[in-house]
Amino acid sequence: MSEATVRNTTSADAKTSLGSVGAASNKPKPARKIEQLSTGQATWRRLRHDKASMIALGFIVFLVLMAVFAPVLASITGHDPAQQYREIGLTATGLPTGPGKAFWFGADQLGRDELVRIAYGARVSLLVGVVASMCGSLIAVIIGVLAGYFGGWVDNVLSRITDFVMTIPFLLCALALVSVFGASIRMCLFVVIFFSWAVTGRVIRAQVQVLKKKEFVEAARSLGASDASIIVKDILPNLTETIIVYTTQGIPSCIVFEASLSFLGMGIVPPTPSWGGMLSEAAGNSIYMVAPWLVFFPGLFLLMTTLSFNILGDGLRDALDPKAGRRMLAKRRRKKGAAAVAAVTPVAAQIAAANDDIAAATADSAPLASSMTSASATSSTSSTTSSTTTKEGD
Amino acid sequence: MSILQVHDVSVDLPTEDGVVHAVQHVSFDVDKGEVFGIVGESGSGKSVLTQAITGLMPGAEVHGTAVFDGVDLLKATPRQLRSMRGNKIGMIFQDPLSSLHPYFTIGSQIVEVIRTHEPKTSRDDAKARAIEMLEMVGIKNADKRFGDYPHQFSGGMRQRVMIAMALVLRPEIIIADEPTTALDVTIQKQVLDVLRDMSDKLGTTVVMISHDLTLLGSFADRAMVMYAGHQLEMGPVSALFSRPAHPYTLGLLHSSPDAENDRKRLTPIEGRMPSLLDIPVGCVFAPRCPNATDRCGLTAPPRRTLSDGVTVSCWRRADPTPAEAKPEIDEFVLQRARDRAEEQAAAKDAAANGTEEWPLDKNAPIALVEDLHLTYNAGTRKAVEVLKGIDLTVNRGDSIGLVGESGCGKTTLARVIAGLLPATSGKVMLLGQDNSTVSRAEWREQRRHVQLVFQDPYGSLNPRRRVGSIIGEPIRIQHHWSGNRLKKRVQELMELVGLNPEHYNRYPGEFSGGQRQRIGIARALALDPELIIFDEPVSALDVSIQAQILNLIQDLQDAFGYTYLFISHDLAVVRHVCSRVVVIENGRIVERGDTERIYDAPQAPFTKRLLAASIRAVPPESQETAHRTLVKEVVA
Repeated sequence: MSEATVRNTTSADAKTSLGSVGAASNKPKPARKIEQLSTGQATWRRLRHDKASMIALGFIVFLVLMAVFAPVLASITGHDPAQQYREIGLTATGLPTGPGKAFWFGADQLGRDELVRIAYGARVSLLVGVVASMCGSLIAVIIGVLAGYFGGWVDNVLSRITDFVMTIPFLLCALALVSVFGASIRMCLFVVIFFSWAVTGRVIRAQVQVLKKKEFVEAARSLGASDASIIVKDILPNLTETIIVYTTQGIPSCIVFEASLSFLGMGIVPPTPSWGGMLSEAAGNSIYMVAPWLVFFPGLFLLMTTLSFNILGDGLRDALDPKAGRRMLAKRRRKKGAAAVAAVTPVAAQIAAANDDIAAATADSAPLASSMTSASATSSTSSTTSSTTTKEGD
Repeated sequence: MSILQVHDVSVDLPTEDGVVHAVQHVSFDVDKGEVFGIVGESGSGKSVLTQAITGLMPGAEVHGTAVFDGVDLLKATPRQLRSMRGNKIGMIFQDPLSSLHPYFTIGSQIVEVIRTHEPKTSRDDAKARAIEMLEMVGIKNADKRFGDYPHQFSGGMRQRVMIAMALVLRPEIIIADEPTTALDVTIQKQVLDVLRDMSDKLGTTVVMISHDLTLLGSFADRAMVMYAGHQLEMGPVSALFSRPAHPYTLGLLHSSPDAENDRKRLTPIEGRMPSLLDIPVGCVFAPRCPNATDRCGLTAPPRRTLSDGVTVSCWRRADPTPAEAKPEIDEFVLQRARDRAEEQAAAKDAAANGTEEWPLDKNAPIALVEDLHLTYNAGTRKAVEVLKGIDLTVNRGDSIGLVGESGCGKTTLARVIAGLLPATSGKVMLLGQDNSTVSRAEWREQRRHVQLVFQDPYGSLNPRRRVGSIIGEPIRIQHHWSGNRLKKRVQELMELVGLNPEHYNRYPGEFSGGQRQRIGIARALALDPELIIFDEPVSALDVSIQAQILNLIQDLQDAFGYTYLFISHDLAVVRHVCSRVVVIENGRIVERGDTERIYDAPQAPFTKRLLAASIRAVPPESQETAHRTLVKEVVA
């Protein structure tokens, strides 16, 4: 968004420079420019200060690299994921060898390299997780926007479908489907997608219902804009944050769905390695009693992956939330040791009131702010939305 | 004797964007029993100041001293402060709807206040005191209404309850933060009267915060003017009005539309408030000051005390002079108007050659409303009749003001005329076509001729679209222009409304409230409509910005001859812009006529009440002020 020094225009408003939402650099010089950050930059800046999110992001990057370079890993160790190395991978009594020089993460009960299989399993998990979550969000957006925007019978039909999907017992239905149509990665994807969109769909519907009543939508309508144009240009861009957050947070549950299916033998077909499948094999014959690494490593990766995506999703939600400024204040206060968080809202309100520029940024978020400045009447998308969100999300 | 002595208080608020210096080096004394006003535009730090003093802002870093009743409030423990609030310091907030708990009766809420601070009071005593207090603030049948819930009271009544609650413990001082801003004009006056009356009866000191200088003029004894966290001028209200010593005070007086009687252009304070993230070098008002000299921008001004009790922070020793109002309309606007006239003449020639354009009848009134009724939730038990038989004719070139209190149906009427809401019964003709019979395609065509400017400069612009795209949207939809042609037209529009055309690619969040309202106006002008409906276009803006926008609205009509329908609750604003006024009460038109006639000789009782409430007595100049001298000068 570059610099934002407002030049003197033909009249009014802009005589003093210094425009914009103002994320200030900390130079003490009075004549400094206050720079406008794009939403992306601002989000990244906030995210960078969140250690947990950065660690989570680091792990995800590591996992992606591992999945992408799985063949390289295989060539370094010299082990193919499906190849059984019975001579070196199994002891004389037929038990798998533990972690060591040859097999870094140990070998499994068939003498396959656990590390290489985890790397290849990551491909499956990420593929299913990311693709399913994105497809799920796509369905959620379509259904949520249609139901929220048009209301009436469209809303009734779509909402009942959503309810219906939410009431189906997931595992039972998944098992039935897979046993009828046979297990395959495509079937697995389909099942996971089918069960992952409903919650997001409801949240989006609620948010669209709020957005629909905003004045800018009415403005567009009064200009003669068609429904399609309003949805694409006015509603969807304002849903970006929700979609990003819910997609990110949907990934771990999709990964767990897949793992559960595979664990039950209804997901990824062996010998393709998948984390759930590996856990299932480790459980078979209670082999994990003598070879605990067979449970430990896939379990650890599964745990770390879901945890990372969840933490990142949380961090993203905080970073994308325009109310973040308020939170920073509260944190700082806690550090100082003064208690009483009670009056955080008036503080934020006053900050909003304190500066026209900042008000512009927070006005969308702080209902109190707007009611306390004389610039009343500003209702609030995000806070209203988030309250509705909680209601619906529960 | 002063009851509250505030000395050199500064408040810093740490935020993500940096430290906001919300209040800087403010000092004032409040005398016992007086009404002290703090006035300033949004962002001036007036509320932050009082909240910091009363300890309601735990996140802020506060420096200085504020001695009340022998205790420095800024050093008091939270426990001390808590026992003082309510007991010795009463508070009244802006929004009477959200400051009362909706699940408890008002009686129990007042009783709770009493029993929290005086636990020994019996319930019956507390109840008796609450009822007595409610009666004092003018709530009829207080003993019966004691058990009512907040939603059963109107806004003005709720604010009375708040006053009763704040006064029930007989505090020595009451801090009222914009107590009437959320109320209608007529109610405003009643509430202020109650507050003043109570202050006189009980000897309570009142500190009143307001953005409205003229409101304080009839209410306060002394006042302090704040701007961007700085105290600029303080003194008796009569002196502030009759002989403002600071250019900002003068500017505020000149930019409020009440000061002018005719349709003369207002003199706004140019520019806008600086960012509070910086500590200014020199005077904080210097960049907008018409009297600024080089010195003002370099060194902070001294604080001078004058013999009539006024203190002012300004380098200028002589009385300030008002800014020169730009007398004529911007040349660019006039040029565009001439271009447009030529285009229209050319189009008329073309029309004469056989191709007739819509609308067919150029001489018909732009809008004709006959016996319009509108009922929400018609046919159900929740049915609410909002419009009860409205007749209205809007001729070409008219500027009609729709005036009424909140909830009277004026916005609904505008929406119906614009074709955004269907009428329940009655006829609405827009450019010779009945709104109820237009086809979808015709409706879309109609959009070219009717445009709306919305009240809320924040909510009416999509935060996720660039300004160029927002202003260009109507042209894109209606004429399917694109690329450079569209961009050129959008930049022309931006210049027309006083925006920098180079800001084409910015998002609405990067503009201030006034600039956003300009964007809204540019969008409405994009299609060169016949009728522009303004829905409270300036009510969300500060006084100095409001004047800029009003001037713009007026200039555009003078140059282009647009037809306006101007909705407002503020008679002064309407008087400034409109040639005819329609007064609406409860969904009915109670009076209509030329602006001057309505203001000079109102007929309907409602109009009279409205006018009486909006005219505020300005205190006369005192002898002391007329002959004032410099007493002392303290260098900052």
